[in-house]
Amino acid sequence: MPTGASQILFVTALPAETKPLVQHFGLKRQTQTGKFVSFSNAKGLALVQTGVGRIPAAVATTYALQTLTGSVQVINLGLAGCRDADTPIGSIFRVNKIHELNTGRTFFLDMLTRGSLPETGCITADQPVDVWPDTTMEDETLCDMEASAVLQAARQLGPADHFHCLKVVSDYGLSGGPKWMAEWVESLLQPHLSVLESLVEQLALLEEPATSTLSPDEDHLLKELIEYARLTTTQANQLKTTMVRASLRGLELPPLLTQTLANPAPQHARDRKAWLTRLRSLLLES
Amino acid sequence: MPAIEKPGSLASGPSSWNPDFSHLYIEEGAREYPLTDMVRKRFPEATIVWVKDYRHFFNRPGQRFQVQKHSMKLVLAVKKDGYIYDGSENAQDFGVSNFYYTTPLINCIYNCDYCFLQGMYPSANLVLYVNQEDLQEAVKQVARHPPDPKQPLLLAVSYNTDLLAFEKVAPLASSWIDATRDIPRFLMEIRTKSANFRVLADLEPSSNTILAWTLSPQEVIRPYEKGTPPLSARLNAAAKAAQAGWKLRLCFDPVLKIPNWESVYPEFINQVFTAIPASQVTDITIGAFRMSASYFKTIKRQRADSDLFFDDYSHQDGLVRYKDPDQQALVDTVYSLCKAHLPKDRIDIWL
Repeated sequence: MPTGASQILFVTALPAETKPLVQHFGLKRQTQTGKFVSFSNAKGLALVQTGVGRIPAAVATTYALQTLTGSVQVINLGLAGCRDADTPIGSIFRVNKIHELNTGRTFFLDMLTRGSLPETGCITADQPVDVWPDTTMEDETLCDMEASAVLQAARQLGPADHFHCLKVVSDYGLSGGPKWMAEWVESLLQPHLSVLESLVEQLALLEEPATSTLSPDEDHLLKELIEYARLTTTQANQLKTTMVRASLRGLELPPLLTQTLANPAPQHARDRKAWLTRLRSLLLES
Repeated sequence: MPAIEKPGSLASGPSSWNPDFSHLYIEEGAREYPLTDMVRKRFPEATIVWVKDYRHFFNRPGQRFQVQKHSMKLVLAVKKDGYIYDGSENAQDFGVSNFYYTTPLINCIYNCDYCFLQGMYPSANLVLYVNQEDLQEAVKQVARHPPDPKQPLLLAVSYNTDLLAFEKVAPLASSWIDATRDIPRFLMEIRTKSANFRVLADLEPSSNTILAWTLSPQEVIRPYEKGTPPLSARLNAAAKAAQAGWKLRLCFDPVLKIPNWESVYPEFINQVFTAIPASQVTDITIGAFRMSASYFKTIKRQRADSDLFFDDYSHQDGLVRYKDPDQQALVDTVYSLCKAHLPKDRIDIWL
């Protein structure tokens, strides 16, 4: 898998949903995670298995996100009931909105990246749903027990566009009596692993918007200049803003500013102010 | 019309993003409106997502405006209130106290670095109100009894968007031109950067409408007005509009302090009046870059890619602008250049 700007965190509920992913992506069980069942590999993929229901899902997702650093794309993958008995068992959908039955809130996902999967809405319920509630909209055709919680946890700790949700149809309501055998659950997910892999590759390659426009070298130089001239916080911010502007306009900062460090440093407040004014003028006019 | 494809800026190539308007988010209450039907037919392949209230989608926390700009979605909603607003303090009113604006459409298909919409709205997705007739009726009511009956009513209809650029998706500009054609003592401004005049070419020019083109030097358009037509295309469109008999306003706003601006702007103004005879220009507005301080702060957080937000600005009275004497010099320079072509009373300045 190519190295991208984002890590990927899979969130599953059941061991049988976890197993195919662990095998396919070569994930290793993490041992320092207490009660949380989590896996990862060296390519920036991680997985947390939450258990069933909203509260375990929110807690485990929050835990997993706290252990990861940098930009993380969260993918909730799992089984879901379907209200439409014409939809074949084993069909996979990309979820574009999640209606939380308990609170009546609807959460929308940013559908920014291209994909070939059919889309639908999902409701998250605290109990298995046999009779579809009247409040459900026509495009909310799936029902699970975790998605809204995973979404809310992910949004607390990351941007809205970093949450994705894929659901595979397992049944048409509990009274229909699915066979919740581990092998059967795995067999439902197995055919979709290549689609999942494509999504992972696509997300891992998305470039994150720049958060700082100074390169590490420029940032180091800024720190040196601040220390050299003993700038106040306000002065340091002014210098940074000017350096960012110059850098964005394509100016090579290190050759220009390194020369400055060779001169005697300003000693008094008045000298510092004049030094900074000269330096900023130099950058603004270059 | 298929969803709108556009070049991407991804390492993985343009195909990673969904095209613009790949999804239509439709309020349940908007389902039966003719405009809804029209837009659905324009985008037959779009995924429909039903929403109870569009604000649940549009006002979500954690959205990233610039990321969403890679794949904008279209929301079809019913506007329930706020059909017409008092004119903003940060927009030109030409000295008219009866100055209003309305928002038939929220957000813009373009992505200009200096656009205040990035700071105003939490989402880059576009919201099209399908009950345009309600907005138009509200305007007519205010026009019947304006606060100052001695003055005409000035309406900005393309203030939070670019209607002309959107005309192929929904003919809002045409609809507003026709709806306001017979209102006495009334002038509506449709401001645009679009080169798409041909969508209005079959309409009889309305003396109640002024078509206003925002023009910038190509040195500004290239880095700061992403997705917009080049200067030559805008000039061509504006010239055609004037030739067809439309009132024409030229907007040199914002004037930006770009490198070598002292030589860039004279050349630019010369280019403008070579393409469009001054005799066909109704008036001109000039304004240097300025922005509400709160919008500026919001935008700066998400625009580490634009040097525009790292200039040496004055922050005063809730407004961010260039420090004097730069602000004054920018406006004075463009004003002097325009004065050579149009009388002073047809040039409006915003400092």
